[in-house]
Amino acid sequence: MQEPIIELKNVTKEYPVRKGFRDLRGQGGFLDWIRGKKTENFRALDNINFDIYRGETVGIIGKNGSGKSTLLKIIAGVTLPTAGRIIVYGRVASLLELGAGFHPLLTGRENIYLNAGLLGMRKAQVNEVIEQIIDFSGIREFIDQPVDTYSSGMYVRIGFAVASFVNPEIFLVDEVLSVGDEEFQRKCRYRIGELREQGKTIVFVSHDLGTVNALCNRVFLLDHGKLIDRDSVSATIDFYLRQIGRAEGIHTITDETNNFEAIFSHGRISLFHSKREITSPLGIEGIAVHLQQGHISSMGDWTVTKREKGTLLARGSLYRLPLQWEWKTEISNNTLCLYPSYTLLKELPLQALEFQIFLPEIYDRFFYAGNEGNFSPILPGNLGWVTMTPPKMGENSTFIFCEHDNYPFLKVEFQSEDPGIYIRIGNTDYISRSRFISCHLLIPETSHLQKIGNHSIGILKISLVTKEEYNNWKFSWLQQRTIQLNFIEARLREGFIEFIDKNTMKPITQSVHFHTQFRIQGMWVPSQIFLWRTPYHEGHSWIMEGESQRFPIKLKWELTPASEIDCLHIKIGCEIKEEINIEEYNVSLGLIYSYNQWETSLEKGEFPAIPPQQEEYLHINKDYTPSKYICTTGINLPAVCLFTNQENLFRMSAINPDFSSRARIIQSIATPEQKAVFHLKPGYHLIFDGGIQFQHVNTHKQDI
Amino acid sequence: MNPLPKSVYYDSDKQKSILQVPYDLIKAREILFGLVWKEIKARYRYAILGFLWAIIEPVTLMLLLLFVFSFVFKQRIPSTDRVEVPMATQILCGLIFWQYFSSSVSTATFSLINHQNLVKKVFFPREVIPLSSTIYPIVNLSIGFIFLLSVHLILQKTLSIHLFWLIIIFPILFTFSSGLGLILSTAHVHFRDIGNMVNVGLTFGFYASPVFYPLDWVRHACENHSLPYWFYYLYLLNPMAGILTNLRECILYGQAPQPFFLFYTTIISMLCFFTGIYIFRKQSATFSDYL
Repeated sequence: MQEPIIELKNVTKEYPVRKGFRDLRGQGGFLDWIRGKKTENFRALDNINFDIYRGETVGIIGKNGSGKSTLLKIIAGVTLPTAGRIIVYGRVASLLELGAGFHPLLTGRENIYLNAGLLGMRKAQVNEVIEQIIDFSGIREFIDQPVDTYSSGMYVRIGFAVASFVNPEIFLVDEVLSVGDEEFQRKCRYRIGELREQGKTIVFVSHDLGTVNALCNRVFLLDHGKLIDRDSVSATIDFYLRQIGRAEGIHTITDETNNFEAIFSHGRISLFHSKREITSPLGIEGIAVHLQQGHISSMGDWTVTKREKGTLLARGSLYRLPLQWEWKTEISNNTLCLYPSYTLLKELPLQALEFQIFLPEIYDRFFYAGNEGNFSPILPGNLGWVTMTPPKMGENSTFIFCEHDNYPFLKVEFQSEDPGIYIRIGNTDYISRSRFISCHLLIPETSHLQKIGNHSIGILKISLVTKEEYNNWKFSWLQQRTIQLNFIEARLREGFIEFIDKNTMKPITQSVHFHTQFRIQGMWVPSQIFLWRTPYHEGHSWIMEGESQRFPIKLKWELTPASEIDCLHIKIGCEIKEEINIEEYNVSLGLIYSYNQWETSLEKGEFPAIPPQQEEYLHINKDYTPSKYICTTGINLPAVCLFTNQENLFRMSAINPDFSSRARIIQSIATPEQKAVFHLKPGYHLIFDGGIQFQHVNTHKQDI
Repeated sequence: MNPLPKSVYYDSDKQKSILQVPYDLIKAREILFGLVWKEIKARYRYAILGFLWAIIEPVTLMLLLLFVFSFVFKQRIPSTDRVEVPMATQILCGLIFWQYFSSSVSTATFSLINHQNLVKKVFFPREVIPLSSTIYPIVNLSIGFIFLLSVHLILQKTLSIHLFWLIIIFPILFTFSSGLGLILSTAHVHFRDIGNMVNVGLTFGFYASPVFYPLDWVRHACENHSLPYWFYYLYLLNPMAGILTNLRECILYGQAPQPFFLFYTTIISMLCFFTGIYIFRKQSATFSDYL
């Protein structure tokens, strides 16, 4: 059984309203005092009951003036409750008195003794830890100087160092960690973590909800002196976030049906569907990233300049950046369109702009860049941004949904004329347990977006869709990217092609799938990292175009199916913008591990098993003379042939990749013969002409 | 495994209990001496003459008063039938102890305001704050006292055994000033008028106590009917009259203190002290609300 270390029983605290005795006769004045007339008191805490147990970390949150500090004072014993009782079973050190009681004329060392004494330490005990305290404070050079020569940061450093080494059982931490430089703050957090590990009880008052969520086992919310205790930390924080918003500065816009509402409050938008909130309390925020630091739109002064039924125009200046947001929000026909623009008051090296949409945990599925998947469960205390699927440059839309009637499917689209858009989706337990969808716009150096003036950055569109609409969309999305062969289906993905056996609906490719890669300046550049456009038809063929962001190369894949014979003809062309040297390139097909035989026109063999220690690619065939094709077979698998029509150029190779890939790779490699490199001049070059031929297990192998 | 010993560190119900005071003070003795030590170290930190000021101040005042009485009012000084003790040591003796009293009362009155940082933020028995203000001036007093003894020794060439009465008389002075300090500091938290009142009162007390004149002069004045006789008893109501007179008796005249004064001042100072402790304790837990 656990025993409480702090017990509060019906604690009420009232403060007398003090107006001073300036007016001798007025209300609360001197004469009233003589007559014993009671004046109205201000009730700071109202009947608070709770126990705190040994080793707990408890957070106290609430608006300014809600009684947090009074509660902390009562626990610290600095003031008495007006009614009720509090018992504390252990030495308390409060970090609220950092540097209190420092005598300006005494030296740092003398003040350490004095302050530690006030916190209840004997002189001998201080002697033991004084060196540690001085080290922790990090101002050893100044320690024997009077503290009135110290900067305010040094004051706090010494104060914190003393308080954290007096070794009490209970720590009261007020909003003090926001003082001091970055490094010292880190040290403080680390020290608090250490104290927590040692089983100290910590009571923590903060406005930094992220830290509260990270550190605390329990959270108490104070509201006008009353205690609101929701069972879990996140539930309390959620309640608090809603409570903050409710106060003022709220603007609601709705669409025609009044079914879809957006509530704007101080740089944050929350969405409601059928009166139910479908975003999590953090809502939708804009973030300007500057010097690796995100500046959230809600950290600013916002004014709403125009509001009609479906439109809202709001302006907000960030507190800490000379940046003025201007958000035009329109809501109609189940779609919310946010047209963000911003004005820079001076030139600013912005690195990115982000829009983060936080959704409740109930949303558990997503469709992004051709992948439909499940969100993993949100791990408590996971403050980072855990991405569910690798983000893809240029992918500007995603679907988030769940099988729950009350929560509509959501489609999020971020459109901008500027390149460098991508979307990340994932989980976070930062402040509140949520799914996040983060729409990024990367700003390259010296972009016009960093210059003074007004910039608009496109549209963020959030639409409510039905399940049918989603399925149709998904179907057509896939349709647009699928080539049907006879019994094989080729799915065109970003920079690679995935092949699926239609009989079993299982993929037969994995790892690299079908792709091509170049060696430029000693570095391998695979086609997956190119920026690909949506595939389109051209006559009988499908065209995929991708552009490298780093090299002046544009790839053009021309795919022509010969469905009846299960053959996909592939022509790879290269549009070169500037002269470039390519040292080597290849066209590869990564197959599943069950393929175990290979054959070229020159020799044939078996794939050996891949030993676990293998970390590199291993070429298996011996003969590297250029040839026409390479085939692989496996038991109950369709035979696959990679062939080329430029038989003098390509050497064929069977490869075992590293153990973790567990794939079989067949590859046609082009290496320049006499010249050391392929020297490509600007213009169009055909670099591969060939294809892939599949043969069903049951049909006999034909010669090509 | 044994459960951790459950010792109560803080219980709001006990904060106003008088019985708790001695226990709290014993626990907080290091804080008390820490505060005194802090004052000692900080007081003359940047002063070149340092603790010499403890002597310079009363000596200057003594010389001034000596001048006034030896030259300006020379004719009007009544002669006494007692052993002649130089005026200089008489004045010095009064001044040194009066200064102890006045500085401890006035700093104690303002001490809570001056230490409001601590009162508002750290939990410890608040009694130590005014008490440290009455303990600290003992340092100055001792320096002055040694000086007084040296002067006395040079002029009179003798020291009396009756000096040992100080062991009783000084604690009376100490409890009296501590008691006043506790009462006045509590009052000052609630009514800031008290600070001004204390300043006026101490100036008044300086003239209304036998600081720079012996008590005999007052008695003489009353016996000569230049003042009504009841005035003498009114004058004696001031415990400082009894305390300072007794101090002179045993330090300068080498006589035992007058029993009536001894008895009377003990009663007054004890009364004052316990009232102070009582009032202070009842109020101290909520001081931070009024600072």
